[in-house]
Amino acid sequence: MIEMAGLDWFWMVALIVAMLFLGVLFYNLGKRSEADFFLAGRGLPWWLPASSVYATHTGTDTPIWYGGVIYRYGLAGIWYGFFAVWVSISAFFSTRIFRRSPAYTQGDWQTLRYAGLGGELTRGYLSGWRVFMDIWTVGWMNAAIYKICNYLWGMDYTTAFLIFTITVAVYTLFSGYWGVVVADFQQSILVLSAIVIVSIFGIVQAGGPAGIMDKLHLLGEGWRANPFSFVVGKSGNGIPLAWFLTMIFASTLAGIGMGSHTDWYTEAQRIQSARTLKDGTYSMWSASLMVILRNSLWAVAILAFFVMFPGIVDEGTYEMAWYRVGFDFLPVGLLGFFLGCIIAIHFSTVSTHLNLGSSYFTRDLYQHYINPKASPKKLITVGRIGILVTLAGSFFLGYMMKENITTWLIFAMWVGMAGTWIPCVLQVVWWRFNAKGWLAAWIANLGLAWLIAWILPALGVIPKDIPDYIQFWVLLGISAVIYLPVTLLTKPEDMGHLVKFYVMNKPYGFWGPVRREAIRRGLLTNDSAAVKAAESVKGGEKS
Amino acid sequence: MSEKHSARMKKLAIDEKIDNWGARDLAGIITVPFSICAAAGLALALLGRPLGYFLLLAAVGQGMIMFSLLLPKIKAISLEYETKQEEYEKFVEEIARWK
Repeated sequence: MIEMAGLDWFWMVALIVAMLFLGVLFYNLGKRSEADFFLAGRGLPWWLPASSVYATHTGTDTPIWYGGVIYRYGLAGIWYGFFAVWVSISAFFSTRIFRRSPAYTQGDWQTLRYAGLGGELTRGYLSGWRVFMDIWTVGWMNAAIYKICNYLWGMDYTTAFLIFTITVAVYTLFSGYWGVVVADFQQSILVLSAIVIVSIFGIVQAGGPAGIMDKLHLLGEGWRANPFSFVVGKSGNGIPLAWFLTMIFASTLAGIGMGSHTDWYTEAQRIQSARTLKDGTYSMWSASLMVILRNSLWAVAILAFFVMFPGIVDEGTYEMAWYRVGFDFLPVGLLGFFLGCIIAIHFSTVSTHLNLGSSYFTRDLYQHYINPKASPKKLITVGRIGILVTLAGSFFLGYMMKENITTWLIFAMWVGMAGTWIPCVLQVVWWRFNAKGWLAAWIANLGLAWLIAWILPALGVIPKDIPDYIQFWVLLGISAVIYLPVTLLTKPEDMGHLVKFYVMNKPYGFWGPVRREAIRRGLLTNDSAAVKAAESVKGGEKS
Repeated sequence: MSEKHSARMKKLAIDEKIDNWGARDLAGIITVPFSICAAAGLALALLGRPLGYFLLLAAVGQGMIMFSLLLPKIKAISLEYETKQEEYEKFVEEIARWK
């Protein structure tokens, strides 16, 4: 339990009230149209989606799992943040393709890419899965805020959920994406301030940079200050070199694909809400840079915690390293500000996933399959019901995950989707990859990921201590053995549909037959003619 | 395609020098993962390690190379370009038979 002074309570309550006020302020914008409720009218300058991506990727759970990997592996744990590189690559590649499509969501995009029943099945499957993932994400936010509230005030899970997650739902219900994105901007500033202040306090408390290094050496743990400390074979400290190389491979590949990472779905919404493609690109790239720099500040603060509290073996305890630095060492007033910032972190991530889950629930499931003629007013009402469904589901999932968040997150970010990573790239770069291949990969992965990571080890069929990177490659390989034959033994997508997709999205990679068909149909002029035509248009506009 | 349609298609045609993916894009992909140098660089710099300053400089260099490769294309894809693309897509939707 932590003692809080009146000034601390003042700061905490003031910040919560300010965040709720924004929700009410944007109520009128949120209720104007469906595009306003889900995409803020597609007119945002780059810094708004950027701050929103950054704030959303900084959840209450993020310093917990990051604390877990840095406390376990030292600075080498920093590479678990490689997925930020995936966002950087995506900023220049998948963003460009997704932005030029008229899709609201990744579910929409699937029906642009695949034809007929196959397209509908991929959309339906992806949307259902996405609603589940948003429930899951809000669930682990619930688990994280519970851990914090339990440490601070001895609060139980249900009370933490009722006070903090329900409060977010209020402004998300009323203001839609406008409220989410503007509150995210405010919250990103608060979050960054908290990260800088707490991390500096931690470093100073541990004796400054020199003090941390000296204590690490005294403890015989100097390797922890080396981000390139890898385990090769069975010797060494840090993370396995094979895992490091796997993460470089996976994140580079994923940035070229579409939908390969669980965070893509949030980013897709922000890309489409930007006013131009350039704004979308800038927002994704700058957000990834912020995430990379944020990780470094956290890492050093967690290292400072390690030298002050070495030898903690319980995962649930050392996961709280960064929060402990703030709770244990910040002075009166700043502690309250820090708590307000933690609540801001919680609000930004939960509001995003409530709105996003609701967007898939409404547009991709309800409107697409149940009531295509629904009025905008009806869609917004259903959107609000979607928020309540996400909220209710998250309560139960969060209860399941309230211990060992690090393990769950590593599973969700790296292992749980391993079998779908290459298919997500193939659907962008290879014309021949079809809906049946995509569905085979996703369905196979759904079963295999749980079997290999949780069920078979629990039953004693395979060892419990198989490293994450081996699980990753096994899943990648087994899935390929399933989806490649399925793709090659079934018919390609309808050529007319592929041509439409190609001329609208202009993807890269192996699209030769489709491009030639588009030129044959007169839908795409050949290079020299197009350049000439474009130049003459430009000349005409100038004159 | 009729002559009328053909003329409109030419008017709406987008400069394929901008539109196509090329060697610069590939080079861009290769440079981007090195931005992670910034993470290790800042962490080590905060611990006062010289390697940290070197890695931070490397990250700045990476950023400059990356933007010199990719920025011209991003600039070219302006609001005007996006509007033209939207018109082109509407036109294609109007005239094309997909089956």
